[in-house]
Amino acid sequence: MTPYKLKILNGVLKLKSFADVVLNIFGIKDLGTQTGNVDNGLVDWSIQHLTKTTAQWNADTTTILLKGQLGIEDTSNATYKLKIGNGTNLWSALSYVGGGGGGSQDLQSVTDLGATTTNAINTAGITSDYLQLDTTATNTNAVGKVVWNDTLGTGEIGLKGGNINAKLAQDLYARVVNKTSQNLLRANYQAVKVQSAQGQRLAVNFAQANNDNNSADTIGIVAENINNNQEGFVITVGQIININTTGSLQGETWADGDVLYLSPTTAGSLTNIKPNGSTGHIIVIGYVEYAHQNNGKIYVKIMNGWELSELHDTFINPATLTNNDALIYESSTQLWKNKQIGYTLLFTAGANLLISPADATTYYFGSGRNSIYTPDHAVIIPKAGTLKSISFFHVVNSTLGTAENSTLSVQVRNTGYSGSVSTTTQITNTYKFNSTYNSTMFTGLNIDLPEGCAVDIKWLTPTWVTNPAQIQINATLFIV
Amino acid sequence: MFTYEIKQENGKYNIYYYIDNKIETIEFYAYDLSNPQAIIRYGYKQKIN
Repeated sequence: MTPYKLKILNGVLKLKSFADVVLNIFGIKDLGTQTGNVDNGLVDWSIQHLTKTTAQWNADTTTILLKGQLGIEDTSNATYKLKIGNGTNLWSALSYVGGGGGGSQDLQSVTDLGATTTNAINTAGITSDYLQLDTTATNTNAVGKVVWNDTLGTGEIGLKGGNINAKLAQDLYARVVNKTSQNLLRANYQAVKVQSAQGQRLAVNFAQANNDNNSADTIGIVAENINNNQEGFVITVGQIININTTGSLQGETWADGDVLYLSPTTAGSLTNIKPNGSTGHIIVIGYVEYAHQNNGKIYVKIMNGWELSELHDTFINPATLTNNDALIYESSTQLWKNKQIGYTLLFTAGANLLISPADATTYYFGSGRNSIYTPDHAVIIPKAGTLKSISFFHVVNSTLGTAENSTLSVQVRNTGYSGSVSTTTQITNTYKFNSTYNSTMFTGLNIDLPEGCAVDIKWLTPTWVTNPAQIQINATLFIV
Repeated sequence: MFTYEIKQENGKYNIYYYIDNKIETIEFYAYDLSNPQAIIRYGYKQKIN
């Protein structure tokens, strides 16, 4: 059969006459049924191309589509697939192509095509059951690109800026604003703390382990150069590489496996010298994975620790916190609270020999007896403390005294027996011996008692109408 | 030597205790010597001037 040919004039298909409509266009052998009209020489036609079912095409071992000839495969499920002949291959050897009119192609045909070019697919989105990285391929990193790094054992994604390739499932970064007033350098890998927020991002400043305020919010170490007041990444968990980890930057010598702490003395710096409660807060920054001048590695894992007062079952009241406080468990609140602990000293006068005090006489007592001399019975304080309260107790074993007032004071010799009186603190000037028993507590005292000081009670008696007789008086000192 | 002596002071009697002639302490003793309010400490002997 001699094929018919069309002429294209000025981009428009025109026919000489209607008789030319019956064509075998483009060499299609089996034209099938055509319908259409000619209006002012323009063709308005539908053309059915060579179409077979999938089974038919699969069984066809003779049909070879001409170069450029279209073949349609009816898959019997309302979809049609398209192939273009090359004048050589059977249907089975041709690839499907996409197109309109209900044509489709499978993913294999697309990837087969792609495999001969760049292996790259540019698309607005991919939905897949999984994404498998090629663990044998070698690729260069780029911003927004995920590639496999077999040495690191994971995929890496290039972060914004192009300076960091984050290791998937191994590294965590935070994009922050540099508020240190300095340009931060990755080479210095300084530690930063959260200071505030700016531009809906954390704003950071140098961390330092000299106090809770400078260290409690330590978040990471600088992972790329970040100019002052600009955004950049700090690493919060994971590995930072290619830095000087010999310790020379910090004036120390670091080795593989060293634990690195936040420096108490230099803002932003790290140290392998563990601080203690006296030298600073113990903020673990990470560990030296590889101590090297250029290719050093640090694994970052920040542990800020807790203040004692930040524990859930602890309440330390700053309003009452003072020297010699201890943590005491309080069952009613189920909390550990700061409370004063200390010791008591019992000073007695007339313990073994009852005393009948004379009028207007000054007595001193401490260790069991009384005397008109000080410090004959003073007590040596073995441990420095503060006298917080004192309780006086007496028993009158014979005649009760009348209601005249005695004055009781605490007398301290800071340097011991041989020293002069350092302080005399009046506790009461209204103590009476007109009852058989009496116990009175005096609180709110704050009398310093240096270690080794001598303490006794000074008792100035009144002139009684009736003197108390055969009495014992005790003083209990509460010292913390 | 443990000694004592009783002295009248301001209409009352006080008792002075001495150790080796040094006053150790002073206590009220009685309004009336025939009715002492305190017991003289054991082991002290009356001082003889």
